[in-house]
Parts: sequence; structure tokens; C-alpha cells
Amino acid sequence: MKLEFKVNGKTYELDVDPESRLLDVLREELGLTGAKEGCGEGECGACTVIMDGLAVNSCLVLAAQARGKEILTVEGLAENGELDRLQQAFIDNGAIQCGYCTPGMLMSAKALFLRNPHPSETEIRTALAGNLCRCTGYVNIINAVKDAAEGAV
Amino acid sequence: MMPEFQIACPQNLADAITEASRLQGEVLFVNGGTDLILELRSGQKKADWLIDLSQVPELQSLPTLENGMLKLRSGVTFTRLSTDPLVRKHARCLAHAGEQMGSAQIRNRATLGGNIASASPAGDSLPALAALEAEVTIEGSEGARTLTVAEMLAAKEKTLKARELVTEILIPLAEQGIERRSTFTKIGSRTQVSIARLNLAAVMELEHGVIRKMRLAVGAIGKAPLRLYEFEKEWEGKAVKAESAGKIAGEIAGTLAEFLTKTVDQAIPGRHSQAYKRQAVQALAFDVVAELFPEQGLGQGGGGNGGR
Amino acid sequence: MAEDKGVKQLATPERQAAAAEQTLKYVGRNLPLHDAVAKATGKIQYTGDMNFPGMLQAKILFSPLAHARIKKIDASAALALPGVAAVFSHENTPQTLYNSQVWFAGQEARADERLFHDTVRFVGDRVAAVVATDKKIAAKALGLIKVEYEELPALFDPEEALTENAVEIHPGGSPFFEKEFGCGNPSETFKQAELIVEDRVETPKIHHAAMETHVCIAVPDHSGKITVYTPCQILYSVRLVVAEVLGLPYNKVRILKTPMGGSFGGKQEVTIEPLAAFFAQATGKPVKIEYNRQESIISTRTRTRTIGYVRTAVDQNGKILAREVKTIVDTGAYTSNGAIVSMAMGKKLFRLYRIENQVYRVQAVHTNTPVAGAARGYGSPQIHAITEINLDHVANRLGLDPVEFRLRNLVHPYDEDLSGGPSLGNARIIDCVEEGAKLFRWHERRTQAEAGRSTNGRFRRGVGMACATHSNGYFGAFQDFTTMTLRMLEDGSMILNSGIHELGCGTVTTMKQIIAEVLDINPDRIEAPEGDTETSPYDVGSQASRVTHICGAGALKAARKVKEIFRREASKILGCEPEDVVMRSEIVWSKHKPEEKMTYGEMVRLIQQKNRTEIIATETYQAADNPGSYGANFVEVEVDTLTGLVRVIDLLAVHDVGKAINPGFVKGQIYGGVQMGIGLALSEDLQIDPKSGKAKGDSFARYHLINAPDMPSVEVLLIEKGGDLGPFGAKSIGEIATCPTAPAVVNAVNHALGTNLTTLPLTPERILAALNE
Ligand SMILES: Cc1cc2nc3c(=O)[nH]c(=O)nc-3n(C[C@H](O)[C@H](O)[C@H](O)COP(=O)(O)OP(=O)(O)OC[C@H]3O[C@@H](n4cnc5c(N)ncnc54)[C@H](O)[C@@H]3O)c2cc1C
Ligand code: FES
Ligand code: FES
Repeated sequence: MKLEFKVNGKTYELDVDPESRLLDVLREELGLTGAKEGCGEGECGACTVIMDGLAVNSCLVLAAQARGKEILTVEGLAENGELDRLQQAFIDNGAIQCGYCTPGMLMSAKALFLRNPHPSETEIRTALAGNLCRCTGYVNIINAVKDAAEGAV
Repeated sequence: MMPEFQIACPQNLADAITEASRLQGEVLFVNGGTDLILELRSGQKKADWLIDLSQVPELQSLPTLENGMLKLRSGVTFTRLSTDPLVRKHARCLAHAGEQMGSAQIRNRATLGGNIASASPAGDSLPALAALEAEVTIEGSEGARTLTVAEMLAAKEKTLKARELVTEILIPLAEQGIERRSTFTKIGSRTQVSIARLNLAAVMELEHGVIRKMRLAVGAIGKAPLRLYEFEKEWEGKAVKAESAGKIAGEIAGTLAEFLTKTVDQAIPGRHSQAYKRQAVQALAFDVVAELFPEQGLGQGGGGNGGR
Repeated sequence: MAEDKGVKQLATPERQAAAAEQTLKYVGRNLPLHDAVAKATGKIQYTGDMNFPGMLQAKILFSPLAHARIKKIDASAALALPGVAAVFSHENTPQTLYNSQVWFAGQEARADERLFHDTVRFVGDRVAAVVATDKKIAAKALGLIKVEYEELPALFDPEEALTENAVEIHPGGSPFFEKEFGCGNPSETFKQAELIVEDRVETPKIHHAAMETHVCIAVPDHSGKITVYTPCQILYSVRLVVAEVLGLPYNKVRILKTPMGGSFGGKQEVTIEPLAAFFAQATGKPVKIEYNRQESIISTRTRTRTIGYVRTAVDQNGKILAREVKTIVDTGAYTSNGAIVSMAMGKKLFRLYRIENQVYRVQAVHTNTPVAGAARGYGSPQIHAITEINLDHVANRLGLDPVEFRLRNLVHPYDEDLSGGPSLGNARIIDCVEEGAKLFRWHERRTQAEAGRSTNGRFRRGVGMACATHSNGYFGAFQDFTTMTLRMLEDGSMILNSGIHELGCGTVTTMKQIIAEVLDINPDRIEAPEGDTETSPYDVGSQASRVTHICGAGALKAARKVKEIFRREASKILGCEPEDVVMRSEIVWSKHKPEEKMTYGEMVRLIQQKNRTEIIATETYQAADNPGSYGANFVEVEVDTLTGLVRVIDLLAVHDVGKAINPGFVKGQIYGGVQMGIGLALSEDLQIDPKSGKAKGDSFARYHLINAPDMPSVEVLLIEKGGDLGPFGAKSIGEIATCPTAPAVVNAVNHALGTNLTTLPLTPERILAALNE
């Protein structure tokens, strides 16, 4: 079936299987492999992307449901080669270890900033509650988001 | 891995209803997909056709007040429930359920209609809707009908027939001059992103310091939330004078806790989870009453558990 | 006491280097992870992101039964499906028996695994596989395979495995491994002891929960060589098992370490690589296997479920007189590392407290449950849960403060291991506990928690702590060495060729920092590619907490050698003695002619032109010590006595790491270790159903990791006193980081409630049940 949508500012018209999920299309059709499948059931958040300004689990969105939508993935975070302040803060704060949760964490944090540029620590933790990380204990991730929120970087 | 199916993307409600009756084979609706996609992938459900409701404008429009009712469309997301000013004002318990449900990503997609249609025993909107005495409008090719959420969930036969959809949820407003307080709370195995092991919604309406209405529903101890009719009756008409409010609130909490334990014992006798739930449910009583009487400072001294 | 005896005896150059700490330029600094930018931008390609032309996808059919003989497999319908390349089962695959955890050729280990068996031994065991052009077809074909089973009686309880007439899962039955060792004369001492405190402690099977599930790709070539791309921890272990199963010479199997999306021991053993390699060999096409979460949970490896019986004898002054620890180690359906982990956990008993009379007995058993294997801490979290929970119980019975009680018994620097293991080295656990207690305000907070209890009905606070020790490599148990080749190129940049594995902990950057320190070169100018069995020298792998301590020492040795060669060759160019060659910030000159400076690169070029040689060194570093790494956690919790839910309020982790090469990385390990430890204490458990053998916790919906809202704030205090043979005195952190956490949390809960909860995890049900007792 036909799918027309925008990803990282670019319009795409694709022919996709009806049972494809947004995650499959991003990874397999568009080669945007930043979003990961850590569970395929909405629990880990590794597949998080932003759809029309809201964080969603791309493993639980049918590709067809993204028609006409605007998707932002981790690949679209840096603009003109310049890292987003969240990306920089993640790097500077040691918020990245194996990096597998990182794209999802970044997109959840970005979606939070879109609504609430100066979140409290509790709000940050809530925004990241659906993103699991096994490496960092979240400590430096939370620090990084705080840092980025304060414009410290 | 997802089995194969076709997908129809109607532009409006009328088309959705027509498609539903026209399409051949097993036809299922999908909205947020947060239940259905998992069920399809695990093989619990099978479909030849999915009808995508997520972009049907009539189902997505914002909550409104009409004829003494708060009118919600079935496509309202849990994120919207938690932030919408009308919901927060008139159906706070539903807003609380919205906040405490899933993760940000899930709340952004999951819909009230989907929660009702899935009718999971632990569904977080359900006790809230039961306590608010909400009604649901169901539409299909044979027309529309309205029934209460309680009726719908309690029925032995599945009331929501195949190819019928939930379109609206109607919540009666408190009458003029009556103050409605309501709240919802749950116990999961984690503070956030946890299916409820127990959940409880309460609605209390006050008129000049007298309890006019008390409505409580407890979830996750049966197929559908249980209303606490006996307990409600006991407290209606009781005065909650400012001076004695603390004492009354304490009494309410105490009796509610006991009542809930009894309710659990009756609902799931001999079940493995009974031993745990009969005690844990008391926490819900204290938390809910503390929120119904915020000025009494009834919190039990704990740091609390974040969103719970 | 014997405090500084060891230091004087062993004033090696390494120790002097550690003493010259203040002059360090790159070591001790928080450089970012070498691939952080690639990870932050989503550009890094993990194995699941990789594709090869013509690549096929394999899906495995897993057993729905806990124990059954396969009577018949009918794959005809699956084979008839267009796009299916092959179906494999025990009928058409090599029946070579292997052990998935051997890491060196000739290692003795019970070999009881095959690619596919004719008998399945747990829910999740491999029955068959489909290899097809895409995943969808493969999945569809799986559904078409018809299998007839003859069900066999199954066994899930490790203690039942030890009873007479227990179900025999492998010939000979259980225990398949038994050992006893110790020191002194515990049985005599027990007879005279004034107080003996006994406990039974149980730790669950847990899932490593790396966010990346198990995945690998095998690619065949025209010469018959198979190349395997895998996020593994031990390249040479993968090569060994793959070559053995496929019957290939070692040099026809090439293993490439790909970016690691988390492992924690879960990808340490060889699970899917031999399958992919065989499928690639059989089909002549690249084959990818990618597990989903459920498959990773039940069909790879878990932490061993361990039941410990501990008896501790003390005198009235709180001196531990004797201890007896018996464990039953449940390794699941196949042996894997069952014997080694059984020994590893026992050895820790002799390295934390001065206990003159102690015995350890272990019985390792098979059950029809998911296979256990390496898991961060390699038995340490289990054994420390067993003993540290018991020690709090002892302290309680003595009426002694747990910190005070431990301080009376903890080991001192350079104590000997009374069971005959390597010296403990500069063991600084006493510093950890003393300084930690101060920083945490232990006594004050403990008193406060106790005082608050009477006034505070529903929520109760508790304060607890625990200690732990872990190793630094294999010295004293197995061969441990590493070989590295370091080169300086014509532009002054460098390449380190070695068999290192980056697991996200910062290994690559750590090596760079060490080399940079010696040669005074910007770490960014050093490339340290990860292991490739075709080009890397041998390394024992990323296991046994050996990487920084051993590989780091290897990098240090290679860098020193390169420095020596560089100065020797440069001295010929500069016309001076090698000692007169000054190397600073990538500029070189003779101290006699400071006005004639050139870059390292210019010098390398001149050395090539004039001296006809290059700057290269290959060095082998042989481990010569295995000091203990030490840690203590202090924690405060709040328990809701109505719901049984525990909130961990905050935690202080104090670790004796010798020297932090990169303190940011060290802290990162600790934060993650704490998250894992809290999970072990409170929520994580595969929950094997005692009737069906199915894991209830087979998805993240039912297997709850600690997420951001429930993670407490964590403070870290590092004790850096060097003194051992690691580079600049560095000791391990990756595994010890998680060891003290679970018992500290359990002790805090027991303090809060006055209970003696000993079965982990402390679920709300267990907590309420204990309160109602
Ligand atoms: C990680 C995770 C966490 C979760 N946490 C919670 C939680 O805390 N509390 C909770 O209650 N639930 C939770 N859920 C379950 C789920 O998100 C909710 O039940 C949600 O409300 C379903 O809504 P949906 O729009 O996604 O439904 P869908 O998945 O789109 O549909 C669900 C079912 O309803 C039917 N349906 C959908 N809309 C309509 C309609 N308008 N009319 C008729 N039938 C319809 C579909 O055919 C399907 O059978 C969680 C799910 C996940 C994956
Ligand atoms: S893969 Fe989508 S939430 Fe885990
Ligand atoms: S950095 Fe590895 S899972 Fe988060």
C-alpha cells in the first residue's frame, strides 16, 4: 500500500506492506537504523521516534498510521552537521555506554523539551520511564537531560 | 512477526462504519494499536482487515461540554486525558488514570476507546469511568446505542459486537452548586509503566459540607471493575464539617480499607493473589481518601511513590 | 599490622608510576567514549543494522515442552514454502558435542550441547531452524513444521535434583559437579562456638537484559572460510566452538567483534554463532540470526539460580570464628559454566573477611530450565547475597552495628587468601567501609530510621549496607596473558592491534589513555580497533574483570616498548643518547639541542628513510597478580507496609579500584551495576512455573527492570590507593560494581521491617508475607 509521510524533513512516498510497522519502514525501507527493536512490545523505548511532536514507540505504530505525519528520528536530530544540545549533553555527561538505548532516550528527551523546555527532575524521570537502559543506571542520562535543559552546553 | 492483513483507512466516521460492514472476513478496528498490534503479533487475534481509526476526525476531536455532559471521543489519548482542562475539572479521576497509565510513548498513542474495547480487567480508565457513571455510545451499521460503562463491562455476552465501534464516552457533570472531588490510584509492580495489580477510582460530591454522592470502583479483582455500592450508601448524607473533616476522613479511610479487603476476599477467594491483594488494597483506600480530603494532610508520611 | 609489608617487598616500576600520580596527563581524566558521537547520532552500525548481499535470515523453533524426546519432525510443508532455503534439525546437522563457555583450546569442560538435540531439555531449547530469504517467510515456515514429542518427566527444583530417583537430565544425573575446599578446622570450631547463626538464602534466575538482543551474521566465502560478525565478549572462544562444530581449521574461521549493544555476560558464551556459521556453510549464503526479546530471555543464558545454606560462628566480641557455606547451583538444562561459576563464587568467601576456619561445599545441578552462564559478577552477586545477608543477621543477634561488626573482621591490605588463592593485594575494603560510613552518615541515619519507626506506621525506613570482593583476571586459576602490537605511523598517529572487545564500558578509550600517557600523545591520534581473529593477537577476552587490569597492563607494556624503540631510533637521527631524547606533546628533540624540534610523525619518516625501520612493538603481558577489587554499598529504603513496595531512596557506592584510568567510566559502571543489583534485590526473576517449566517473566512486560522513576540517586566514592600490578595501579570495576548492591538493599529492608527476608527478589508478596508472620 501507498504511504506518504515526512521523515526528518523529507517527504517520502513508499509502497509498504500493510502489516509493516513504522519501525520496520524506517529501518528497512529508509535505512534509518537509529531506532532499535529492543522488545517489540512497547516496554523498552529503544524504538522511540517523534511523530507530530509526540514520542511514540515505532514498534507499536503501523506504518499506514503514519500517513501524512511528520516523523523525527535520531538521524534528524543534528542540524547541518551540528549536534543537538541533547546529543552533546549525552556525550559530555557520559550518558552513553553501549549506546543501544541512546536513540530512544534522545527522542524521548527531545519530545519532552518540545512541550516543556525546563523540566524538573521528576518530569525528566517520568518522560524517560518508558525507556529502559541496562548500562547507565539512568544517572548520567538524567544529568545530561538536566544539563541540556539548563542550556549548560 | 506480524501475520498478513489488509488495512483500510477511512477519512470519516461514516466511512469507517460503512467499511466495517462492507469488508469481508475478520475485521478489527485499530486506534492507538498499543493492545492490538501485540495481540496480532502473538497470534491471540487474527484479522483479514484492520480499519484504522487513528485519523478519523470525528473520533479525535477535543473533549467538549454538552447537555450537562462531558463528551469525550473514543480516540482521545491518555496524554490528552491527563492534560485536558475539562477532564481535569470534571473527571479528575480519569485524568489521574491518564497520568498513571503506561509510559509517555504509550499514553501518546493509547486511546480511551481502545481501553474500553479491550476491557482488560486491569484497564486503568475503567474504574474511573465506572465511578463517574459514564456512558458509552456504540455505533454500527444498525445505528447507535448508548449504555453505561458498567452495563457494558458487566454483561456476560460481549456487548460490543464485532464491527461495532465505540464513538463517544459521556460523563454526567455534577449538578449546579455541587462540588465534585475525584481521584484514581493504582498499585503496580513498579512506580511507573506497570499494569495495575489493583486500581481504585473514587468520586465524591459535596453540597454545603454534606456528602451527596460517593462512587467508588475497584479494578483488577474481576473481569470488570466492582462498584462498592454498600459502602457508598453508608456515607451518603453524612456531613463533613470543616472542624470534623479530619476525623470523618479518617473514618472513611478506615472503613473503606476494611470494606475493600472484604471485597477482595469475595471477588477472588482462594486465588493465588488473594493474600497479597486483600492487604495491599488497603493502601488504595488511604491514598484515595487522602486525595479526596487534601486539606486534611492525611498522607501517611511516606515519600510516596511518585506518580502513584 | 602487616599493613605496608607488601609494598616494600614489591616496589616495581608499575608501583612507582602509580606513585607519580600527580604528574599524569591523560590517565585519571574523563575522556568521552571513543564512539560516543556515532552512538548519539544513530550512525553506529550494530549487527542487527548490518546486511550483506544475498543474506538469508534464520528463525529458530523453540521447544514448548520442558523435557521431551523428539519423535518426528516433518518439515515438508515448510520446505515447500517459496523463499525457504533450508530447514535444519538434529536430523541434518553435526552432532558434535560442545561446551559453550570454553575459551581456550584444551580447556576441560563437560560437553553436552549440540546445535540441535533429539531431546529437548527446557522450554526454549532449540528444535529446528528455518533459513529463508526474509524473516517473514522464515517465521511463517516455522509455523509449518510439525513436531511429534514424547514427553518426559521434568525437573525444575534444584534441591529436588539432589534427591534419589530424581529425573536424569543428562547421564549420571545431578550433582554433575561437587567440590569442597576451605581452611582451618571449621567443624571443631563450631562445636565450641557461643553463637551460630544460620540462614538459607536464595537468588533467582535473572536475565542480563542487554538492550540489544542476541544477534550475529555468518558469511561464507569462496575458500570455505566462514566469517562471523558478532557482538561477543571472547572472540577466541567463538572461534574455538565454531571451528569445532563445523570441523574447520581455526584459520578458516574468522570472528569479528561488532559494536556491542550490551552484554553483562549474556553474550560471553557462544550461543547462536555456531548455528549461523553452520547455516552459512550449508547454504553458501550469508545468514543472520536475530533473537527477539523473549528468545533472548529464555533461550540464551541466565544468571544461575543459587541456593545457599550458611552457618556463621562468632564470639561475643563479634569476631567470626568459623563459617560453613553450602551452595546448590542450578545451571539449567546444560552445563555451560556450571562448574567454574560454582568454584568462582566459593573463592570469594576467603577474600573479604579474616575467617580462619571456613569450608565451602558446592553441588551443581541440572534442571529443565533455561541455561545459566556467565553473568556480571560470575557468581559474586549470588555468594555475596548469601553471606552478606547472613552477616547482618549475625550482627543483629549480637546486638552489634553491622558496620562495626564488619570492621572487626574485614581483610587488611596484603592479607593472604587462606584457601590458597593469590594474595589479596592492596585490599582497601576497610577504607571503603570507614569512609563510606562517614560520608553516608551511617550511624546518624540508622538511628534516625529506627527512631522514626514508632511514629510512622505505614512507611518504614531502613538503612543497610553490604561489602563485596571480586577478581582481576584469571591469575591463580587459568592462564592469563595478552599480546598487543603497537605502531607509530608516518604522521605520528598510532594503531594498537589487539584482541580487545568494547562492551560500552570504555575499553578502547581506556587503552588509548594509557598509551597516550606513556608517549605523551593526544589519545584521539590513537586507533585501537576491536578484535578480529585474523589480524589481532591472542587475548583471553572481555571476562573475569581482567580487561583494565591485564589488557591495560599490556597496553602499558607495549607503549613503553614503543617509547624505548622510538627513543633509540630517534637518538640515531638526533645524534644523542636514547636517554637524551625528549618526547613531549607529540614533539621530539634532543635535550642537548632544544632548538631542533620536530613532530613524532616527522621523526617516524626520518627513521624510515634513514634507519630503514619502523616504530612497532609486539609485547606479551603475562598476568602476575590477581588482587581483590572491593566495594561497599550503603543504602536507605522506605517500605510501604501495606503494599510491600520498596522505594530505594539513595545509595552510596564506595569502591577500591586502585586507580581510575577514566573516573567517568568507572562511575558509569557503578551506576549501571547498582541498577542491576536493585533489580536482583527487588524485582527481577524469570519465575519458572513449577508445573510447566515456562518462564513467566519472559518479556519486559512481566520481567521488570528498574526504570528511571524508581532509580535512586547514587553517589560514588572511589578509593584509589594503587599498589598492584595493573596499569597505574588500576583494578577492575565492571563486575564488582553490582556485587554489594542486592545484599545492601535486602539488609536495609530487613532493618526497616525487623524481618529476615532471604529469598530474592523481595517481591511485594514476599514482604507482606514476612510482615504477617
Ligand atoms: C507498554 C504498555 C503499557 C501499558 N500500560 C497500561 C496501563 O498502565 N493501563 C492500562 O489500562 N493499559 C495499559 N496498556 C494497554 C493499552 O495501552 C490500553 O489498553 C490502551 O488504552 C489501548 O488503546 P489503543 O488505542 O492503543 O487500542 P488498540 O490497540 O488500537 O485497540 C485495542 C482493542 O480495541 C479495539 N478498538 C480500538 N478502538 C476501538 C473503538 N473506538 N471501538 C471499538 N473497538 C475499538 C481494537 O479492535 C482492539 O481490539 C499498556 C500497553 C503497553 C504496550
Ligand atoms: S522495541 Fe518498541 S518499545 Fe521496545
Ligand atoms: S547505554 Fe546501553 S542500554 Fe543504555
